[in-house]
Amino acid sequence: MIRGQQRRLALWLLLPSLVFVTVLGAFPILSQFVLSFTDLNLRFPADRGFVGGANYARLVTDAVFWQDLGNTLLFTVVSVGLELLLGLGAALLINRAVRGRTALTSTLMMPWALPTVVAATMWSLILNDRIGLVNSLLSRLGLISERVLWLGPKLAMTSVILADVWKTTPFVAIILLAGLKSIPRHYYEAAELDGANRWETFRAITLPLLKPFIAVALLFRAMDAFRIFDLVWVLTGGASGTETLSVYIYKVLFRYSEMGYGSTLTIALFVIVFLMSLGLIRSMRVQAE
Amino acid sequence: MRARTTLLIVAMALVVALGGCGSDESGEVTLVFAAGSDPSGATEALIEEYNSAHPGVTVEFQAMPASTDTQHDSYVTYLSARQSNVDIYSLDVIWTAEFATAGWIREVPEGLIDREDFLEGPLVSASYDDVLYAIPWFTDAGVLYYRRDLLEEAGLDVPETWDEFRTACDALASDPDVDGYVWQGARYEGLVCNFLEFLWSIGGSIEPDRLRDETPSVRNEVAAALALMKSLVDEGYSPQSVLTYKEEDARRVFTEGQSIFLRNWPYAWSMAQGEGSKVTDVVGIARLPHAPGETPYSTIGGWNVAVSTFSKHPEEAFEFLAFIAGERSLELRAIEGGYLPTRKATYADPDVLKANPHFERFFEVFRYTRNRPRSPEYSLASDIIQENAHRALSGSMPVEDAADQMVERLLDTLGDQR
Repeated sequence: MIRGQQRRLALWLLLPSLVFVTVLGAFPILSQFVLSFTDLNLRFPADRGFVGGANYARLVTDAVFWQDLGNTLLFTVVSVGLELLLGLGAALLINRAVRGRTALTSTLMMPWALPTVVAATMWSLILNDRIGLVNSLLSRLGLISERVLWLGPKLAMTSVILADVWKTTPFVAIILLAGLKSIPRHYYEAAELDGANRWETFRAITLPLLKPFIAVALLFRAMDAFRIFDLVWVLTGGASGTETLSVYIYKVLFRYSEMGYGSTLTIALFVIVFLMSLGLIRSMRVQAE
Repeated sequence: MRARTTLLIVAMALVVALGGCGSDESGEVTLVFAAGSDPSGATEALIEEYNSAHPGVTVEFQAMPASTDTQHDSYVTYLSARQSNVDIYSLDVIWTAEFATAGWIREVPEGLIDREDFLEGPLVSASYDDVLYAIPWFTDAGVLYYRRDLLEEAGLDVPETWDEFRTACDALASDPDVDGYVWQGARYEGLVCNFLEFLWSIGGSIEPDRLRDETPSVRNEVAAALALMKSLVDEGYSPQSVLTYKEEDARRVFTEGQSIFLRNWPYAWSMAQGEGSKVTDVVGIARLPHAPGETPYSTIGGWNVAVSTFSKHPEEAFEFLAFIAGERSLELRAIEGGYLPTRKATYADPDVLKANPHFERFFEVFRYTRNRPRSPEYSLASDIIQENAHRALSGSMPVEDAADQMVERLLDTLGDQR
């Protein structure tokens, strides 16, 4: 009797949060989905009508969409790849450090703690061809004779990736560091007794036990990188082959006020990210078995 | 029992959370004026003046972020939701068509202003389909800044044609650290302004009716303009880095004394005379270079003021509109903030000229100005120009192909209007 009452109370208490989740989570996604089948333009809301799959047909033939999808993929693969490698290296080093581990960790976290827009503005100054730190350092070291145009047509994507790696490697490092700390020390002691060298220990113990953590970092980072907006917006505004899907979506939605087609693009991005994470989670599970 | 009490609390909390919207009605009319913030404080002073002279009306100033794009996006959000939170908007000259066709701004009543008083270009920018939707507030136009000292030293006249311009650059560019000509070539709105000035300087244009009826010649003009811009970069007259320059990047190069010529808006004048500038007193202003026999036109920038369709007090709002774009307001804003007036008479005002002696020279430039395409689809048209011009400049696409694409897509966008 009491249990039934408690259960009902629990349901009632849950109701507000359920309502909020529905209103804030499910409803926007659903309405976006509905919008993606209309030609709603913010300037002419009254003219809105259902256009069936026309927006999706347009998506398939939209050269800008495919171009930006390619840019986004390139950015995601290269930046996340580098972040994993560097993050793993950093985590291993910090884990070995005997002293000053806290100081090291907090220093390492600095870039991650900065808001991306601030970091991006900083990088746009650092990479400025005339007054930027990078060019002045390189020319003082005698490595370059002409000003390098870091944000120009040839190097723009490289620079965006560089800034992203600088900013989010700490995030990967922290996750992997937590993973390293969770590996029981006696595994290593046993390996040492058996005469395993460092590389063998790393391959046979560290890497396999770290895999779930790598997978989590990969999942978070890949999803995040795929939606990259702020860094690109500040550094290049999408010029020179750095326009990503989010930048395009922003323009279609807010510059051109095309809510219908913008929603279609949003749904496409949502589906891609969803499938990507599903794939990653699947492969994680396969590996775990 | 306890369950019921908890339920009651939850319900009350929800009521409080959701029910916090009310309204108060009184005889007092409050108008909200949204515009980019004015660091000189002149706008706020004017509003205060207006409020004390008009009992029963209170104008509130809603200072918006400096970024034009941010203002645009906020306004579109307000207006598409038919919100009446802002009565008077200050609008970039390129938004008139978009806001007018969406039905977001009101027609300016006949007789509120005398059109003869205003500069023609800004007045055109405030109208769409021959209907006046806004009043020009302050204006802007592309100007050529040059190093008077260097030209005089070399005994050269201020170049007028592109050939003379190149000759002058060749004669003066002895120091490898000093560039010839810096302008705005980053992929953003400024590139459109620069591109159009290059296009007009060789006698081209992209007016919608020309796009439709004379597509092949428009295409050739666009290709020639892109080729001209690219040749300046390829031949070293302009640094490669103009492809990443916005106004301030280019301005900084010039006021650091690292370039001979600069294309920029009038604001750069005060920066060149101000603290931290290495070229104080040695800068001249001229009209942009052009092809022989052509007239160089400058792209019009600046802002207009308009009354929202959703304002609940349109009469009072228009009265304020006439004041804020009136003579007194333009004078004070010119004197205090250096904002370029849109009324011709203000350029002859002794106090204004005393504070801004250079206005006299700017006034000459302002007689030859043109607007960017006036279309409700301007944002898209602008993106098409930015994208293809930048591709051509960076060499990621041949000039001819970029011109083809630009014209083809502009025809689609500007040719058939909703």
